[in-house]
Amino acid sequence: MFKHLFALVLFFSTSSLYGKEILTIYTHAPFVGATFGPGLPLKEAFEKTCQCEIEYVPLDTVPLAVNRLNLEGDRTRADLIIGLENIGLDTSRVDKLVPYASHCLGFVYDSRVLPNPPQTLEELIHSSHPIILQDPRMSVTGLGFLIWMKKIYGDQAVEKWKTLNSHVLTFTRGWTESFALFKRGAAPIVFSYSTDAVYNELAKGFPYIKAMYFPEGHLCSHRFAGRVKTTQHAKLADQFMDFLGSKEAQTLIATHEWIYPVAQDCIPETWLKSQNYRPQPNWIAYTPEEIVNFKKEWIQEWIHGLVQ
Amino acid sequence: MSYPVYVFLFTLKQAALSVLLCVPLGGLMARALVWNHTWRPAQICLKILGLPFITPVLVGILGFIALMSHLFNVYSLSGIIMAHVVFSSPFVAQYMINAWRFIPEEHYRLASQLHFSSAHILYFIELPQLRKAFLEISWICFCLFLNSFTLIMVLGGGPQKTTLSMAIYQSLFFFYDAEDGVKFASFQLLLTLSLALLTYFFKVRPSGSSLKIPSFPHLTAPLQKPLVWAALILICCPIIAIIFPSLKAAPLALQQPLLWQSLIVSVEMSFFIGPLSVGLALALVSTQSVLGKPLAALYFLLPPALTGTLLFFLSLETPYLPSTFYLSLMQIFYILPFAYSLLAAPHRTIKTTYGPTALSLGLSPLQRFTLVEWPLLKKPIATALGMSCALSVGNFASLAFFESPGTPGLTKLLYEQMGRHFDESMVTALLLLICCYILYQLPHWILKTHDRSPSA
Repeated sequence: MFKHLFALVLFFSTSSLYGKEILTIYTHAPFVGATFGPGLPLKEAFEKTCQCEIEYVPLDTVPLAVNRLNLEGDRTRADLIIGLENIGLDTSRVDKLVPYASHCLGFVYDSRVLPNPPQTLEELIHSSHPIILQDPRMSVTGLGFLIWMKKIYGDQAVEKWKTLNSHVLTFTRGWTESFALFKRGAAPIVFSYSTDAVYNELAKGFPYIKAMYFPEGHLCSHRFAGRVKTTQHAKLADQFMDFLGSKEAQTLIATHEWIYPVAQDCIPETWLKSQNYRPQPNWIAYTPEEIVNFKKEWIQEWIHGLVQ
Repeated sequence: MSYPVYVFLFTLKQAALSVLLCVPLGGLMARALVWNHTWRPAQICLKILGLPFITPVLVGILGFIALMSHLFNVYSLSGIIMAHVVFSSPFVAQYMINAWRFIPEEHYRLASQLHFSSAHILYFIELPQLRKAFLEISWICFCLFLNSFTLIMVLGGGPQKTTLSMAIYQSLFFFYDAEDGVKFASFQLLLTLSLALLTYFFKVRPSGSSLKIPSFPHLTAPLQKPLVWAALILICCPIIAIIFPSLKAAPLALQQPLLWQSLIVSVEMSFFIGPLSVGLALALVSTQSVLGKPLAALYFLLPPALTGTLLFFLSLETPYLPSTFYLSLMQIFYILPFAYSLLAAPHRTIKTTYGPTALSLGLSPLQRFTLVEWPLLKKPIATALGMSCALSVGNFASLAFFESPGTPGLTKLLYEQMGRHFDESMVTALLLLICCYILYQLPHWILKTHDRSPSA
């Protein structure tokens, strides 16, 4: 068994030497997970259409991948970077951006504990349900909620934060820690992604985990594939970016990454039939530039508001 | 109010409140144990009173969370205070029991002839004699709580529940804001220096153990027995709380190679750090270096976050030195004070008792060591060695600042898992706990000193 496997590995690793073009993609680890993430099925599907091979370089988070790209500068091996978001978008090393999916942040709750969840953001803020949030200084989702509050309430945001803070269970380092706490039942509400409800129903078999949809709008973002400026395989990179927009790829992204595909007609049948699926909520308007410009100021404002 | 000032005040507040709860509780527990010392549960309790000391803080916190998170929000000020009380009141009790031993038995005999009530005895006999010890332990606890790092890292969070130590660490490792890090670190440095000055001013000197231990007075107080049970529960419950869930998750979690790799990394480190610390401590003790006395106070004065930050900046200046070097340095800073205070008092006793005889017999230093000191110091050395190894394995702060390349140590792994896979982390915690207890006992087994009770 292992002998065959070894021979197979050897075959594939040497076969790339004979004329197969290699496309190197920087991304974050969840994109290429063994059970979660569309990376591996996408690779398999794309390699059938070309004389090429995709090589993923997974880093812990997208910001780390961007940092690495910036650090390596012109010497980088990367041809593409996948997973860029509007929040903290850094385009200094890429010359072409193509959106391949979008996600919306939102509150996820346990409907067994909370049969009547708040219907609006305002109601949630003035409720007394314990909530798990992420620290915006360390986490992208946490930063997302900070922007959300700022965009809806403007100068009133600090006051609203104070009210909300009275029932925040804790601010965790990252989304993973938050969700682990939520799963242990530490609090009935966690700040997460709105499609988490569909994921938990269909993939995990927990239909009682539901998402709140607020009429005020949600903070949403595209997910982009970016072509690295210095790539030697621009044509292949373009080919892959086009492929990401195909129906096949879009479906794989929806069913494996559990976020909204950009092509609305590619929402999987299973989603439409599930009880927790809702169409994308309204997007709150913002620009990536204002986040870059005001992030520090908004975080300072938040800190001072909370500690007074 | 500016953020650093808020953090500073919060640091003081949580420490002060913790002391106010922890010291009276520890004192009451000590009294109940002394008064009922012939009662079987109290004897057991006296034996295991040192256990929380070698239990890694992270393991204790995990048990605390598992127990308490269903009762109230442990990630809050009250959670932080409660956790301090649970982990430190046995330490307070132990300190106070040592002080209790020095109340002459005659006082109690006289009191019983005069038909003093328990309250009278407390007021007229015990409090006056114990006042100094109470103040000392309050001060030590206050400093320890001000500097506590691991506990706040787990139970704190968000701008509101941040202490100086945590703010320093977060600025450097999570926000990559060196400027803020330096700001908080200077605050911490100021605080530490003023605490050191006050310690000198108050003449707080942690008392070491001596060779001869006076026995307890003969007393019984059935009314205080519930407090003995309370102490037993405080010590055992956090540990029991992780045993059962971990057995359930063990079959899967134990198959992870990373767990065993981390264990090996940690044990290797402790085999290096333990003997080195004890060796250094022995050298300091036997040369009667002037460094000794201030060194013994470092364990409650020196915040791990400050040591870590200073060494971290140093390591940036010297990239050719491996991070293992700084990791070892940080661990030695942490462990050496304990090792020193465990050895200093016995050594002093030996010196005063047998020094003149050895001198008159004209023994060479080597002869003096092998014939006089070694047989008497064997047990304290074994204790110091075991404690150093256990502390090295259980220490989280040093690993938080300087990770060994490749595999994380066991405590770092546990910290990562606690946030992500709670059940799995129970298994890691149990393994860490067993590892610490074995390491603690190992020197006693090897040197055949047969001390089965951990005593700090």
